[in-house]
Amino acid sequence: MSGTSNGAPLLRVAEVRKYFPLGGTFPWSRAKGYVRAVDGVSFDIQPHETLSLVGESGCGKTTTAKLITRLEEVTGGEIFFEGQEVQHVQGRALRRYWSSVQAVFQDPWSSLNPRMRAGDIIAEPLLVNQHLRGQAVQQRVAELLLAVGLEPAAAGNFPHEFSGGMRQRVAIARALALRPALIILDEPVSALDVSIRAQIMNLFKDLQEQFGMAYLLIAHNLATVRYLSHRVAVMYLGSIVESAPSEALFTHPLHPYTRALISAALPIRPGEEREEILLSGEVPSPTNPPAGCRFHSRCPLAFARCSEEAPELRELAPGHLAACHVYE
Amino acid sequence: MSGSGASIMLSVRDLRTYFFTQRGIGRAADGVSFDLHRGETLGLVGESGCGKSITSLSIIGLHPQPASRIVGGQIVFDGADLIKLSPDRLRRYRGKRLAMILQDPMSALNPVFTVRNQLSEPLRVHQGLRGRSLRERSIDLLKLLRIPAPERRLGSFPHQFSGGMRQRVVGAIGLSCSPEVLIADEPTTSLDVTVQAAYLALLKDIQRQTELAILFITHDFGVVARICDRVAVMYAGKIVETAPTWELFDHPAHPYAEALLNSVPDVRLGTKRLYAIEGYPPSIYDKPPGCPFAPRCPVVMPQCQTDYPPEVEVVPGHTTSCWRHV
Repeated sequence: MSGTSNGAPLLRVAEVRKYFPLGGTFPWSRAKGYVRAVDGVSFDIQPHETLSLVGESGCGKTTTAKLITRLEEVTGGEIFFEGQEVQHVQGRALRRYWSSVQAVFQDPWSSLNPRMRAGDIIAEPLLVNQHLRGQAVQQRVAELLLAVGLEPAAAGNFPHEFSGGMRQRVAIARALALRPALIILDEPVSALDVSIRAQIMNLFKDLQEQFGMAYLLIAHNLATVRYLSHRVAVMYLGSIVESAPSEALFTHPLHPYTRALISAALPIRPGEEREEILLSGEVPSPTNPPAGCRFHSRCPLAFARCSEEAPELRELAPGHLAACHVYE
Repeated sequence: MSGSGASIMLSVRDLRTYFFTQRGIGRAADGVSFDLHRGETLGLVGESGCGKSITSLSIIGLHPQPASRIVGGQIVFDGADLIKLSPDRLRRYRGKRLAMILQDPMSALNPVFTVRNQLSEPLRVHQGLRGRSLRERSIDLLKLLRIPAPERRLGSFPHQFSGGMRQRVVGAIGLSCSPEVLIADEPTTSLDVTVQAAYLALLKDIQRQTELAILFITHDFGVVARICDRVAVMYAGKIVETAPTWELFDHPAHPYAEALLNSVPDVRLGTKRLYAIEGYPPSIYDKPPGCPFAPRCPVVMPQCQTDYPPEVEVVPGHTTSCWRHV
């Protein structure tokens, strides 16, 4: 993490695409089409920064995260980590990369092995990657449990003995074990109860202050996103339609889709005055996305050009990019 | 709209639904009382395991049996105590005058039958419709829920619909026999935000036309703020506070309701540190004596550890169970 010079991004994603082939009963049959899950996505993450990817289900945010963690191979485009291209690294270099990029998933009921004790779950990356043994492991596990707000004695418990919030803490401790420079948080609080959510969100903030890692947060809840992120990128049907510093995005959203999303976010108080934008229809299929701007079929501002030509992502204010013909 | 003059559609009094398992007795709903008025939406809010779903399932007689049993209380609908009705009599109410919408539209619909088949079942059974009138009523219902091209969509299977459309089909089935009371158990939780907003607006619209009384079960205060007239907050099997929505948001009386409201992040407030309630809710098998919130309560008093507080009226229409207000 210290290797990055000033201003150089920790992670750079450049024009990344991921197409899943469709149809064909057998692996060797020819594809009948492609699901364009991610279609030309670019962004940077700086060290110590939280970038959020926001969008509705099927917009490609989780696929983007899988590409970054190398759980899926890209169809096109490039990903750089600390200046090194990562799609083709193998063997030891890949392991090193995996130790510096960790993930916390949505559902702590399925992301923890039910047959392993919490202590062993957290110790596993230490044994495999840092070759720690014996007392040193116990001590590290105890430190990590304390860092996430659990008692060191919890190391002896199985996942089913914990509640959802505590389980998510174990998953976070495991992600922290190797002191990663980047942690991918894929909907980390949406499976948790309201009163527990606040605990975990505060924990993410505290840990970032303490250890200085960057987060890539994937979420659909805008309040969560605003609370945790420095910058936000809004995705729709596989591409980024707007990206901006968090404050600017929430106070001056530019893209009509972002505005509709913010308007649809539920009010915190009854009777609150707000711009009411109800979108008609649902997200079209990524197999056969609309021509031109992909949002035009639901956009309240769409005009003729929108269905013909896809708008480019352009910088409309410092650091604030949007892809919309309205601003040309 | 909930004024005291409005007629009471459904009255639940001291409902107790317990689970009987090897772990012991789980007091899931442990003395729940509320009234639901004509044309109002009452929100039943709480975290998972607080007993809100078991309360709604008990009303309609669908609580898991034989694992759980209603051991006490009354559920009065139109002068009849639903708990005492025979299964046959209850069936005459359920789906007709009392309907329910479930959370997950994928598992609420049968994947091997068409929408037409599933939508016409309650119409055939309860209203005796056949042939052309059955088809027309089905199409009308899909139109009411604003499903495009209803004539064509009638023959589709559930998997051919998107999540939001599927939830609308479930809604159409729920509303098919023009019920007087609709129980909606987290109907929007599995939907995307923009789709959720449209669904809530639609439900509100239908309610305005039909004076439907809705019991809306949710864990999301945003949903409450958007569509509920009154709210009941549940914790560990009991309702700890009931108030008109704006009153609860402005002056929460119970420390749990207050803490819960403070722990919700606000899109507009940004990054101010969130208030977090320490600890976790108690297990239904092992509740502390006295107030179940006492172990997590920031303003706990000695009394709270030993006795459950009585319900008191803070201002008219706003009740809570907390020793601070007694």
